Amino acid sequence: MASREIEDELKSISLHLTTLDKILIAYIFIAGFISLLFLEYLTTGYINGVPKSLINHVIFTVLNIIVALICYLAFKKKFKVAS
Amino acid sequence: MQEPSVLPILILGIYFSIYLILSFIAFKRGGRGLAEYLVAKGALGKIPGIFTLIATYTSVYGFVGLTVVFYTWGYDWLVYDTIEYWTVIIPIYCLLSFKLWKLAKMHKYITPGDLIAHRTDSNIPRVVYAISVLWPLVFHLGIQFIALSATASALTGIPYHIFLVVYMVIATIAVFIGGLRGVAYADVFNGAFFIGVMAVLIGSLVTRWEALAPSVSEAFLLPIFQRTLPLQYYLAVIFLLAPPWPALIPHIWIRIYAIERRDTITTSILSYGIIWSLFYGIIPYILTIALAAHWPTPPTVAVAEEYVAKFFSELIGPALATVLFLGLLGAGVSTADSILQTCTAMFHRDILETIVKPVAKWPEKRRELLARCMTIVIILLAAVAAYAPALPIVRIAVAMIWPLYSIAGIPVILLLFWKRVNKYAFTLGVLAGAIAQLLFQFVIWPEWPNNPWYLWEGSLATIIAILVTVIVSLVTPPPPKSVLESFYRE
Repeated sequence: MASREIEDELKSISLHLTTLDKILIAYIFIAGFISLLFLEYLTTGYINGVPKSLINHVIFTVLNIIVALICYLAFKKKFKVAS
Repeated sequence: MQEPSVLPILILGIYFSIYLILSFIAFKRGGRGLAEYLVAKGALGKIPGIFTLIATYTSVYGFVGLTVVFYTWGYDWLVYDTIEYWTVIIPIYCLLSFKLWKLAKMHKYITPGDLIAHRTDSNIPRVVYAISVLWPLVFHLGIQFIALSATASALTGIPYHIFLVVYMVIATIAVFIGGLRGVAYADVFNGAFFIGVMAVLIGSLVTRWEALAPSVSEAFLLPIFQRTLPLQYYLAVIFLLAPPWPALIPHIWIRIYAIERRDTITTSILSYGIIWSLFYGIIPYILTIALAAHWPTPPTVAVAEEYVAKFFSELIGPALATVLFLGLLGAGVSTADSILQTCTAMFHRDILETIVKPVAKWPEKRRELLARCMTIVIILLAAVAAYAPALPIVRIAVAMIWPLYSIAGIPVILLLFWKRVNKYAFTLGVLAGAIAQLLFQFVIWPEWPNNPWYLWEGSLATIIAILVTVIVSLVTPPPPKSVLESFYRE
């Protein structure tokens, strides 16, 4: 039974670049450059007494969870549709 | 240094005993066979699967190491260690991990070299990849034991060399007996224990924050909170250093093979996001602010890793701090034993069985015993680095490890997605990159960052590896259709 389920799981994964994969690749380039903008404008000085480096770090930390959550949900949905 | 006492020895004794018991349980549960020993037969369940993926990626480094790096080297190096996660590492993990898992299930791969040899239809790229990665990884393993032993020695007063031997012997026995499954079970224990200890330490810091609060605003004025590295350095970090880290670092790659079900990988995406935010985002920042507020000028310590332990010793008292930190140092073995297990698997499969052909024809039981014995060979090689870290071969290996991950890893991405890449392109790409890095780092530009443009130190060699892979792919015939059909099962 388990091996049959694994067979189905294997079928749901493509070894070639899918649309979702291409979106991820495009995202990497866009996010990479955006992160550099954050670094350029949000690391030296203060905003309302709060160090910019702290704001920058909080944004990066929150984005980790948001991006992971979006990816998790995207793949969950993709596999649900595939099955 | 304080006098050794019974309590620390007792704590570590209990910790290591549990560790060895878990290895034995894994040995009893997993059964026998080479595939079971090296990759848990690809049947690792959800809990051990997720814990071993996370523990292999991060352990005490996130709590102690990164805090110390931030506190002593400055904010730049916290950014260096955190900027990649939401930009590159999470999406590339999603992109590669499912495909690597599927390939491993379809073709029963055990090591990264199995995939490379299958896709290129040659053992030469496998051996080149294994040597490029194993040589620095084995010495890096030795260096891991140095940091653990030095901190434990400073905390307890027990001589450093005793800890070095104890850590190495415990890791060797655990990996020898339990293999990958044993390491994964220990990672569940380590992970749960580590999170518990960390929660107590952070909780104690939060409850005492009022004492530190008046100095916090002054702490932010310290030079460590200023950014000094240029943007092009980070640009190279994001696009050249980070790509292999999510799935193509050998000790993580092998763990993806070991996972039984697809859903474990799906869940690990979210787990990684949360853990990385906690370990690399929140905790090092809070701790460094606390350290900088407490000691605007770092005090004198034997090893830098002591700062965090010393700080908590003053905050919650030496007895409790020592007990909690010994727990953390026990958990520190989790990354070391993962690397030891991976080195053993690669050394046995990609070097020994590939070069000494008759070994691959031995009966399964004999090959399994030989693989277990490779643990001892690897730990002895790692001991060279631990006892003589100043040896040129060790220094060069440790300095080149991160560049070599990119030099060997990015051609693998090309290999997976571009059908033109053949054995010549992959082999020459990795070799050209490795030789270029050696020249750039130790002959042409020996001063950091090993290039005149302030790029990340492995950038030029990684670009050379990519260019050579692409050019050789274009000027040589594509791989035989039968090889591609077998690999992709088209």
